[in-house]
This record gives sequence, structure tokens and C-alpha cells, in this order.
Amino acid sequence: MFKHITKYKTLALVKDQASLFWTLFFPIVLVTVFYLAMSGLLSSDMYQFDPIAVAVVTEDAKQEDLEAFETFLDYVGVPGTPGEDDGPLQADADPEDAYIIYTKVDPDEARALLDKNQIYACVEVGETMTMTAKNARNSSNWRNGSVLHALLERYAQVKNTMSSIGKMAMTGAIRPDPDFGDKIRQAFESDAGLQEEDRGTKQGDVLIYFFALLGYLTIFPMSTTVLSVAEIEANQSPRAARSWLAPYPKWKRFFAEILPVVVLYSILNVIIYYYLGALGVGFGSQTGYILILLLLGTLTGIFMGTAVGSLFKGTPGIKTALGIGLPLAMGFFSGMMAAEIRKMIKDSVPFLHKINPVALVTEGLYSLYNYSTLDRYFEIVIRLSIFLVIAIVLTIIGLRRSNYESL
Amino acid sequence: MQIEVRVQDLVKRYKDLVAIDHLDLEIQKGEIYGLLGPNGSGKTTLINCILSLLRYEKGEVEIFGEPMKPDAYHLKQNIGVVSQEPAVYDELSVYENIDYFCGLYVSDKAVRKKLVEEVIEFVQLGEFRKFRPKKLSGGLLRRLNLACGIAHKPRLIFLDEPTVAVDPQSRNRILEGIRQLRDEGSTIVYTTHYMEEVEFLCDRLSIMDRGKILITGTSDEIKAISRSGETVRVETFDLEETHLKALEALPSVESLEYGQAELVLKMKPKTSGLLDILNYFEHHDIPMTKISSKQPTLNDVFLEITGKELRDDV
Repeated sequence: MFKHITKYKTLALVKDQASLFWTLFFPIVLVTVFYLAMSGLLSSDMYQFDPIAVAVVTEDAKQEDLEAFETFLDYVGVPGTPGEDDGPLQADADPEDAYIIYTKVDPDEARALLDKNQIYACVEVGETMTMTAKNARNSSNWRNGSVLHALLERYAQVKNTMSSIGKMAMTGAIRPDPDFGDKIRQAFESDAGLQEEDRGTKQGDVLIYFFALLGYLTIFPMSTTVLSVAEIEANQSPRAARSWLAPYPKWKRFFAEILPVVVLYSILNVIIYYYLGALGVGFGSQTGYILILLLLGTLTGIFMGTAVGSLFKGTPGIKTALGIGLPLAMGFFSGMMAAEIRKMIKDSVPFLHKINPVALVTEGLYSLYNYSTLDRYFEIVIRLSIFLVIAIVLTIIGLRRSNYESL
Repeated sequence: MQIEVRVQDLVKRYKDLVAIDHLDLEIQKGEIYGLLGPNGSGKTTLINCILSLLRYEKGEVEIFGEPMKPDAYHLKQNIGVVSQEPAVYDELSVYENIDYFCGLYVSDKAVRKKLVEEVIEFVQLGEFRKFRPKKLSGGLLRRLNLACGIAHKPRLIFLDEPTVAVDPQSRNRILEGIRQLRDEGSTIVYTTHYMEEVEFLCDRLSIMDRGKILITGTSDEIKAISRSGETVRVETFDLEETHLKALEALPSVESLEYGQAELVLKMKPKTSGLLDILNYFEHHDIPMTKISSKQPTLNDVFLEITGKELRDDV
């Protein structure tokens, strides 16, 4: 009977042309419009990353801070010299892999360079780092500020860790491995996180929109499945009441009816992934992992819809509004409409970012594209799987009643 | 006589409203059992409680001699339900709809194909088998709804007002079909507020109001308890006052009214009213253009019992 129900549910799904249009063509049209809107940014060189010109003031720095910061500078920057006729800071060596071009100056010189716009920012080295920038909120400078802030933050983290371990070793609280210092230094020098984060900033600013778009489209099936419970619960439609009276358990019927939806949306999201690829939007080479993430996201979207549909006792109109509105809101918070929102939510409301399934898919795609290791990806997959299990359990709780108070 | 459905002391409440009030009921094998009552009397609620679709506060329901529960699938296997509202898939054709719902009961494809063809012929939808429900008229849609509920040849069929808003031709076809189902061995529970359908169809019936069964019996048995007799109408001009008084004094006449050339006489029960009136008019040589007699209806009985009409929509 499972096969029989699935067969006819598939047939009904395919023959319902209005819904099929909404299901198939809306995402494809959305992706196409998105691509056309973003293609200019993708092909332009505005996202080519140029090293950031920085003045470094070391006057008040302690020796240990200075040494640490110089090590840091060696690995992230190249020294430079102010250009002639108040021109911008010029690198003394090839800055190909550098994030910053720096010049060590006193505070007055730094201020002068800043006033003449020869540098982007001035960094004062000390126990705490101070960064001064002009027009930091200017849209063209915003990204430089973000990168520089990320670099300094990472530096501070590593330095603090080393300092704490050093203090504990001195008091005898711990006995570090003889090679521990080298290992920490090695970690600092080749800090993968630092490189990945900033590589992402350079290349992922436009792609993040597409990551969020794919994330949104995986959760989009919620708009369909939020009403599918009406086919299962006898108190929600005469058709469901007739099916309820059949000699077949409700939960089995539910899975038989939802299976074609799972297959349809999974295929659709794979098509959209390859369609974006055909349009020239690359998501990296880890196709297998990407498809697993998309499938997981699709399942989460489907069962979030059924959970809302079975637990929420609103009218079909309100349920439809929730089914359409929730994924859109999640997409918005994941940076689908404005990439800055993603950063803002991530920094200021991290909990919301962690429980937003669209954000999880977005972050998963981001990590696959930017990170060389899969640790972050698997962390996201586990989190999304937990979300999926919760959605299934909530659906089953909503569907568990065997008869009704009223029809 | 084998009992197919037994309901004992059933109580169903919607908050403060008592929808079913300590109701007892027995439906015998092979009969068409009518549940007659005005809108809101509790007919559909009773059916849904019997089918375990609705939770109830008190009482017992047995079908085929076994307690009916939501997971009593072996009982559900032999039950067919035709709801008031058509419950079909708009995206599927007539054939596909019937095959789908039949398939929820019958897994053998060959058997199912035969059953579907039989029921299509039964409801006379052969030429519409590829039509989608939206292309069907109201009457044809009701026939499709009926077909979806009975295709698996159930032993017990619940029909909840299946002829509401149906054209006379489809209605007759449905009613004839229901009789045929009974003749083929099914037990049928038929709810309606159309008393003429009940009189035409049902072997036994109960009149329901406010969640209670007021009376059960055959149509004739129920009408026999009426305290009123037949109603005789005579079209006649210029009937004198003396004749009116004489007619009113006849032993079989309960009361009369005369106006606009029509005399309406309410006769006492179990009297030969029409004959008495004819004799009087003939004996006094009073000309009349038309005379008719109407026996008391179930509605009259209902009116006597409850003080209101069965069909509140007419």
C-alpha cells in the first residue's frame, strides 16, 4: 500500500500544474534573476583584494609585545614606503600573498599619513591593540576594516594563548612539551583559520549570496509541506478523513505521501546546483559533500514544514504565510539579501545564527569553499542533522493523535 | 437478526454543548438504516463517533460485534464511508481517484481493476472516466464521491447526506444504487434531512434531535404514531356558512379553514376523511373544481415531537 500511495501522490504532484510551476520554476527563475543581478559583481575586479596600507606605531610597546607583533607582521605583510607627492604606501617587495603593507612610524607621522590618505589605518602596538581608520564606514573601506580587524583579533587570540601558557609554565601549573613553544609559533605562522577567513573575505563576498540562496532553496520546500499535513489529519480535510478511515496506519501513510515531495525537491536542488554551475557560479570542487549538505537541508526544510503544519493550529492561510515567510526570514538573516546581515547576526546574535537552518547550509557551503579541512563542515552537518531529527520528532508528536476532539 | 453496529450510552460533548446525549442504537445486518434529523441534530457527529474519528466522553461502540477503535484496521477494511463533501483529488481523473481510494483497501491489482470497472458502471461514470473532478457537474461529482467510498465492496457503508445539492436525475441514480447495494448484501447507514429519501429508501429509521434519538421504527410505524390524520383540500366557490358549520361537525373532522376558494380540512387520525367529505359534497350537490388528500408525513411527526420542521432550509 505504501507504493500505491506514493505512486498516486507522485501523480497528483506532477498533474498539479500550478503547484508544479511554483515548485520548479520559481526557484529556477529566482536563481536566474539572482545570477543576473550578481553576475556583474562576479565578473568585475572590485573583489580583487589589494593589500591594506597600514602605519604601525610601536612607541609604547613592551619588548615582548613588539617581538610577537613583528613575527605576526612577517607572516601577514610586507614593509612599504610612503609614495612620492603624498602618494599611497608602496610595497618594498612583491606583495602578492600579503594582507597588509606596513610602515613603522611615530604617532605624528602616522596621523599625517592617515590625514593624507596614504594609509588606510594606523595600528598602535601595546598590551592592547588600537586601530584608527578614516572613513571606516565608507562602503569601499568597510571590507579593509573587516579584514584588518579579523587579522588583529586573530593575532590577539594567539598572543593571549601563548602568554597564558607561558605564565602557567612559569608557576609550574603545567609542564609544557619541550616542543610546545615551536608548535604554538608554527600554528601562529601558518594559522589556517586566519588564512581561510581572509581568503573568504577576498573571494567569498559575492559567493556568500549564492551560498545563502542555495541555503534558502533547501528550506523552501517548507512552503509546500506546511500544508501537506492537511492530507493526513482527518480534522483538516474531507479527503484526509476518508484516507484516515482506510485500514492503514497514519504515520505510514504520512511517509508514503511525503516521499515524492522529498524526491522532487532533492532533484530540484541538485538541478539548481548544476544550473548555477552552468551559469559560471562555482562552489568549489567538493561536489559530493555539497550535495550531501543540500539533501540534508532539503530534508530539514520538508520536515520543518510538516512540524509547523502538524503542531500549529492556524488556518491554511496563516500556515502558508508561515511556510513562505519563515524561509525568507531565515534567508535574510543568512545574508541572502545583504551579506552584512550575516556578519551582523553572526557577531551580535550568534545563537540565532546557530539555529537558523538556512544559515547552517550557508555556513556549510562557505566552509567547503574556503576551508581546507572538513572539521567545520562536519560540525555543521551534525548540527543540521540534529535539527532534522527534532523536526521529524515534532512532526510525529503532532501526528500522534489517533482520533479527534472535533472535525 | 445479526447486529452490525451497536452503540450504547454514547455521550459526546463540545465543551458545554452536548452533541450526543446518552444515545443507544442498533443497526441490523442487510438493512438500510436512516438517521433523520435537522441540521445540527448530531447525525454526522454520531457517525464520526461510531467510526472512532471523534473522541467521545462515554459509551461503547461495536462494529461487527467487536469494539471499534482508531486502529481496528480489520474492521475498517470492511467499512465504506461517503462523506457529505466530495473527498477526491482534483488533480486525478475519475478512474485514478476511484483506483486510489480502492487501493487503500485492496492491494491486488487485478482484483482492484475489476472492482473499479464495476463501480464505474454502477455509478454510470463510464464516459467520464478520464475527466478530472473539476470538469464534472455537481451530480456527477457526488456519484464519483460515492464510487470512491464503495468501490472496495464494503460490508457496512455510511452515507452522510450524499444527495445534497444534486440534480434530480443524479439523485434518483444514487438512491437506486443504494438500494442495489443493500440487495447485494451491504448494510447501509444513511443520514439525511430529506424525509422523502428516507421514506423511499430506508427499511428502518430513527429521528434525531439535539443528540438524542426520539423515535425508531419503519416509516409506517413512525407515521402511525401521529396524532393528526390526513389533510383534505377542496377547491370550491361561495361555500355558505351553514355548510362550513356542518362540515366542522362531522365526526372525522378535526378542524377546517376556508378562504380564497379553498377549503382545508384537518381530519382526525384513523378515520375515512376523504370519503366523508366527498359524500357530503355529493349529497348537498356542492360544485368543486378539485379535491386532494395528503397523509401525515414524517415531518408532521417530527413537528409534533419537537415543535420544529425537519428541513430548516425549506
